[in-house]
Amino acid sequence: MSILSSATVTMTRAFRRNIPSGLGIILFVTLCLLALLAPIIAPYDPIEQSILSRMKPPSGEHLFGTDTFGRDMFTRALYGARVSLTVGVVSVLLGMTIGSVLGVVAGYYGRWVDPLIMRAMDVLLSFPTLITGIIIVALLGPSLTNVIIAITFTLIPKFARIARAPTLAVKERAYVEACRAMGFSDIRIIVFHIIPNILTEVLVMASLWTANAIMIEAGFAFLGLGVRAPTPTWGGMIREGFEHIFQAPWMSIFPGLCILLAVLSLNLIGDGLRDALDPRLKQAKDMG
Amino acid sequence: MSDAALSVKNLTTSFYINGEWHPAVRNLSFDLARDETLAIVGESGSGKSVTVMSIMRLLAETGSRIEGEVMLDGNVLTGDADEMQRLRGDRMAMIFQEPMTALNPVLQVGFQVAEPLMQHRGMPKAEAMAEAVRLLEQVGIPSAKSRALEYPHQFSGGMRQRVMIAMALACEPTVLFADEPTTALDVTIQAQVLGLLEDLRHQKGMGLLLITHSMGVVAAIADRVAVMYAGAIVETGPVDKIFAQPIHPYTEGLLKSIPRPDRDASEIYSIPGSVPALDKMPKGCRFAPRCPLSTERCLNDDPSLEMVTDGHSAACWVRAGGAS
Amino acid sequence: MSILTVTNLVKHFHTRVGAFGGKPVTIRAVDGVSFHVDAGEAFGVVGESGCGKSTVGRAVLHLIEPDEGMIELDGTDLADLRPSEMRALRPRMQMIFQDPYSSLNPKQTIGAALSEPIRVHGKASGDAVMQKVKTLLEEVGLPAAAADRYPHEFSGGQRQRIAIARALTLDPDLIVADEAVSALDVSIQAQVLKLMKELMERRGVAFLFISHDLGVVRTFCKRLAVMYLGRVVESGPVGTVFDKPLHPYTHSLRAASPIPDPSARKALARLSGEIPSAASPPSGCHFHTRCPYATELCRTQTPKTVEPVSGRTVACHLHDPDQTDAMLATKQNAIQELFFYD
Repeated sequence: MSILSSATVTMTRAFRRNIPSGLGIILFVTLCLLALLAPIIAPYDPIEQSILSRMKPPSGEHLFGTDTFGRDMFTRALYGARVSLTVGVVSVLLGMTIGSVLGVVAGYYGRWVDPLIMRAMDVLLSFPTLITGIIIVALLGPSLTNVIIAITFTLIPKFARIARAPTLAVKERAYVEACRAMGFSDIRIIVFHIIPNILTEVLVMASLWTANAIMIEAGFAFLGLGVRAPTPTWGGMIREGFEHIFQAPWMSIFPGLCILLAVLSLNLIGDGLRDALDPRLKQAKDMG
Repeated sequence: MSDAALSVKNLTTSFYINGEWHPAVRNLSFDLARDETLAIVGESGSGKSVTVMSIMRLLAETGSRIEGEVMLDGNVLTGDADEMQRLRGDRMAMIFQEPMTALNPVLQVGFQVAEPLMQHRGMPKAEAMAEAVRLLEQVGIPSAKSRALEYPHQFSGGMRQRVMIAMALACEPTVLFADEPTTALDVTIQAQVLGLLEDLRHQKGMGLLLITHSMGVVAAIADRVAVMYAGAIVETGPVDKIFAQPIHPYTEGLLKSIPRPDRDASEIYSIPGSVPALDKMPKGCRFAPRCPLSTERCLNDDPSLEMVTDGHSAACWVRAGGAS
Repeated sequence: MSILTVTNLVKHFHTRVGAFGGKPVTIRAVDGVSFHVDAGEAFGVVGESGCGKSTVGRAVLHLIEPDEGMIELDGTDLADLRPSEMRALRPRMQMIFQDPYSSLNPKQTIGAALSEPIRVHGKASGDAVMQKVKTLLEEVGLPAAAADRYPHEFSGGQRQRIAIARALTLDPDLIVADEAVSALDVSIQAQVLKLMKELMERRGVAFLFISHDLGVVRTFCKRLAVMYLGRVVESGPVGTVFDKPLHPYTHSLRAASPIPDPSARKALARLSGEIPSAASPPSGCHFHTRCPYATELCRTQTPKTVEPVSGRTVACHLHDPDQTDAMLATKQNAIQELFFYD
């Protein structure tokens, strides 16, 4: 409860006066709503092919044009948003939870726990994202779940590092020592006294890395490592359109724009959160 | 023409908070003679550091406003940025509370002491470095020649403060500002640094403006004292008078609340309440809400500094009369 | 009846200095310290930075594990306790820290910070918890409404009152106060000292009061120990130790402490030299590098702690009746008027 409430406080503080990050939130929420409501608002079926209307440029009938199979690109972009956003949000939530817990535990306990966890994280981090993706997909086969697993694996060590650094600082603060002097258990101290105080740093990175995860998913899809056809994803759509980039540029441009909007909105949110961190630091300095 | 090393008249510094200008220093006037130590003493929020920052023009220009007149060596300072840059480190120099943050960690100590000489005197580097070693010797750094080539982290806190002093004195300034110069130091080291400051002040005949919260430090080296409360001087006079016959109830209360190592306290005296925030200043005497003597008049009108005995003034309706 | 007895406490820190692993360095933070605190008494520990006074405070609370020595709280040896027993004993001793800005969780309301220990240790439940919180806030001179606010809404002095209230939530027998008033302005410092003294008298709680400020210690404490580089050099009743110090270090410390009285101004006492590093303390008596009376004996042999007067101890060869060193004897004669017993 205390974690949630402090996150809410940080969020509201971030967006009260920051117009760009407010726009980011509106944009991201809109994208999520569009993805959620795709079956209702989509004018066509995302998979059904129509040979008659192949590679039609954007028009009133087909807002984003059609692809090589005559499928409506707008519809596919809406459905693609479901995949891209799900991958982005779910993998970051998983990566953040697992990674932050590992980072906080490493930072809080120190001694042998810290090097043990962090060296393991270093090993994970030493694999390029793409290689991790190829290995996991090769082992488990291409599917939405496996893409999420692959991206989660690349995010865990990053979140571990991000969570560990402020933990080291927070655990040295006198109130943590006061908690120990009052006989509080380690779990209580971590949950109620460490995590709420490192959450802002983690959330900033979470929003930025969601954007990253969306791009990674697109990259995987572009390389054919992701969700299988005919399920639409933004990355997959770009790949399909790439072959006809000169005859039918809209086939790559519109899914590209979708990725751009999603990434932009998340970056705006992340910047807003980061700004929310600053005034608090400044305030603390003024008082000291 | 004033004979004072530094003369400040009606200095008022305001800060812009929530759409309004609030004075952090109000109508401050004082003189500092050559070869004299004036201590400005006060608690946090008294405006003592802002005073020095205003004289040195070290405050950020946005959100602050400085009014009044400052004379250094008999010349009125215009506050022009180029002029100030020429004077700072040359005619007026400053030492800070935390020497570690005031020294550049990646430059040799000797070079940092030599820098003002190169900047203001145009001295060639070799000559400036030789002079730096001499200065470091003067502030009591043993084997100064080899230590000049070391870096700040290789020095202890007390030694770093000596380096700061050497740096400040490089160009033989008329006025040295010392903002809590010994607060971060241990008492035995504090005594050494205070002694050094006193010796050097005599040798160089400069004016020393000491900013401190510690009445003990004031009693140890000041000639004259200005007690500040909530942005204004409430009492000023020779050090022995201030301690023996304080006029202002704030000075009196402050002296009574100091825990003393030299005698037993039968009970602990404390001034009730706390210093009001800048945007919540009372309208009359700013000390009135905490003052045991306050009257109706104190709550409504702000008293000005009035001379009570020779050179000893206070701003208090009850104790110093004050102009109506 | 002593509430806390510390016997021969030792704590060394091992660290490395320099790049790429560096060379191992042992910091002898506390090197054989003994003292006891009576129930309901304020006992001071004074010294300059690096003397190990804060380490003593943390070791007493078992926030750090001592290397050697015994710490007894009310007759119970803390080293014997299992973790669960230790946790059960913790409420009996609490701590107040120097920095009022870092000693409270910024994300917790004052009410939450004070009720948490009460709930965790089952000191009260239901409505009684908030009732107790409000009573405590009023006891430290804050309005009950403070419970709904966050730490950043309070000034340094008010935060220190909150920290005191939190230490009192568990009704401790002993409070370790580490530089508890050092960060506060004089007028606020006096208010907080006064509050702590009232609490001590009303609740009978004992204080281990760690400070660098001799004035504060004299105001608050009855007895004290003076530390230098990990060792206690002198201990006894505060008044007599400060007025008639036995150890040359206590003497210098006392002389260097500023007194708010310009008429007592003398040539500023200037103890020469730096405080040596605890990583490489001088041989023999740690103070010999700065001591005006040091002899060859002081450089080689660690002085033992003697009790020349009942209730006062000192670790200095000059006061050791068993020392028959000739050099020392001449020094002893020369400084007789300086150190005299009552």
